Amino acid sequence: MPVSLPRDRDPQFSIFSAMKTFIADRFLRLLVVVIGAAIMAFALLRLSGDPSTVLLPIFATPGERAQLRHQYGLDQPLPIQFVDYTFSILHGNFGQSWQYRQPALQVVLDRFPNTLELAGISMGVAVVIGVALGVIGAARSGGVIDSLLTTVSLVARAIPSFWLGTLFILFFSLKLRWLPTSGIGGLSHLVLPALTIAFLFIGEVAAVVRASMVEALHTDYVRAALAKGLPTRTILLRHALRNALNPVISVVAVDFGVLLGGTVIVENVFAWPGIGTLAVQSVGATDYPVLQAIVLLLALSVAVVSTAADIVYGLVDPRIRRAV
Amino acid sequence: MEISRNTDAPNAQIPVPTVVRPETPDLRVRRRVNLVKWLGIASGTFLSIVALAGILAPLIAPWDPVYQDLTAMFVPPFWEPGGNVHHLLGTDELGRDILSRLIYGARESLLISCSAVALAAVFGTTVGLVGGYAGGSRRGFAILLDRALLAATEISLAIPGLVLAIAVVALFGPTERNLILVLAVFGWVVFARLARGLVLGLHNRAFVEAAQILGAKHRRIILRHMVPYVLPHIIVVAALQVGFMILVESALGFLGLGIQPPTPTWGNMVAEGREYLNTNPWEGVLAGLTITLTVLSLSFVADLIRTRLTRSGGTGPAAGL
Repeated sequence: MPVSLPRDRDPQFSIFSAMKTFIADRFLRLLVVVIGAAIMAFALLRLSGDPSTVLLPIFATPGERAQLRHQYGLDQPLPIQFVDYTFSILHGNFGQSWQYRQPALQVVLDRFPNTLELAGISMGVAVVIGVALGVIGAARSGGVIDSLLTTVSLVARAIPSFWLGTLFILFFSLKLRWLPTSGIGGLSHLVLPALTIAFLFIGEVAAVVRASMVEALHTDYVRAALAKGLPTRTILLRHALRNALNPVISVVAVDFGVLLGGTVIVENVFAWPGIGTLAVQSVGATDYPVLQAIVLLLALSVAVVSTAADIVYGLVDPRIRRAV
Repeated sequence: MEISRNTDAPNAQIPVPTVVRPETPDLRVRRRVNLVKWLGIASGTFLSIVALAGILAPLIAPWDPVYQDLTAMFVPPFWEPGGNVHHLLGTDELGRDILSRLIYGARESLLISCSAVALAAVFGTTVGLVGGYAGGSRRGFAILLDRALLAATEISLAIPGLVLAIAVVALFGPTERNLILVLAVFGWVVFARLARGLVLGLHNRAFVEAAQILGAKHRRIILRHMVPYVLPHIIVVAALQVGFMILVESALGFLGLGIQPPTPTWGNMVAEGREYLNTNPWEGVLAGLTITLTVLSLSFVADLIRTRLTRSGGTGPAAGL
């Protein structure tokens, strides 16, 4: 390969066109992911067999079953079914929910804000606590607090969240009677579920912050700050931490899917009226349109978040967009 | 997602103003290595016990896990007042022996998670090897193949695995086979990414170039030269993934979407125990503790394997894991 300058060192090369290519590339990927997810959801539904066995009572006649299949377009060839399906999804039509007798998308969107609220607050809690712990760990690296942190974050990753939530209820709600056991309401209803979900990520955030803080503490600008005689706290928080925070963005973005998955579980522990409880309830009611809408909505949000994170990263850090 | 990164940066000490005795960091490292070793050995022992218990469940379980004795409901574990040695860990709401149910639960959990990880590892590693190998050679078709495989991994990553599992279980039923398949679909991406990344970096290495110059076929280069390089990494990640899959499987069990009662699984035991949390928390507490200890042990064992592989080679295959 011929040796060449990196593209953005090349005077002929405009940084804006690089950014444009980068963003176009990300959007193309987003499109591919969404289409792929749609195909998968479609295939799953069709592979699962004849909906007339679920929708109709067991004593329905073959004629009635054929009529139902015709009504849902299931007597058409598969490619045509897929085109129909794509069109209806693009129009936001995911079919009627069988348990609520409402459009499935409406049912899901009604609950989605609750899930986002819980997930967002949990991630916020995890980031605040995790960053604090990571800074302490890096500042006292090798000390008692540091090794305690490492152990705790290992254990935190091994504890099943549904069990941790249950223990929280046992301790804080039933024994101490400080907080409500379940449901949605004021701030007090948020505390236990948010802590449970945050627990999944605190260790990870702390580890990432600690590692990049340790690295930042070895740089020249920190040494310069030390030489100037700035107080330790200023050096840690103003100089090192600012540069150590970037990886946290990527943890948050990469783990968004895990966060949603964790929220789905924990919602069921605390009877939080979000998408997670809706999904489990829809399984019980064999409400396939709602399940499908949930899967696609979550896939779409994960894909959008990771695209957005990529673009933000590309804007912030020139090394990344060079790697397209 | 579960790929662990080594959080200890190589020079993890801040300059300390006091005079540091030269042997201090060395001692610290040695102590850490020792700790990893003993934790790993203890964890390995625990895992062997769990695995043996699961495999030999019908032979060693003191009771039939679904045998109900309504005259002996909610017996506490033997160390609690009211407990007895007939039911070492007590009984649940139907008078079933908790220890026996945990042993049979180990059977289900380990069978499902190990099979799922095995499937995922084989499939994912193959995809990653092929993709990385094709992507590294600079031919149009090969790059296209790599791109297509990458797109497949991204699609898989976008769909939250747990939700997919819920949907699949709803559509196809919560059988062992379905759970294994859906967990494998969920897990292969990790292996594919890992293998692809490693293989991409191999193209300029002398041993691969030498094989190419000698006229080795693609298949031979992949199987003879790349697989042995990738394998140690895959094993470490597989150990961690088994733990992760145990968590997912038990979460599904907890949600009522895993193997159905009365067959005991760790997840559905936590769910059943939850109903009696206020009065008789033992069933749920013990089942959850078993899950935690098993998963934790897997991560310690993975840690041990990793340090072993790193130390043996220096610049060898697993260096830098």
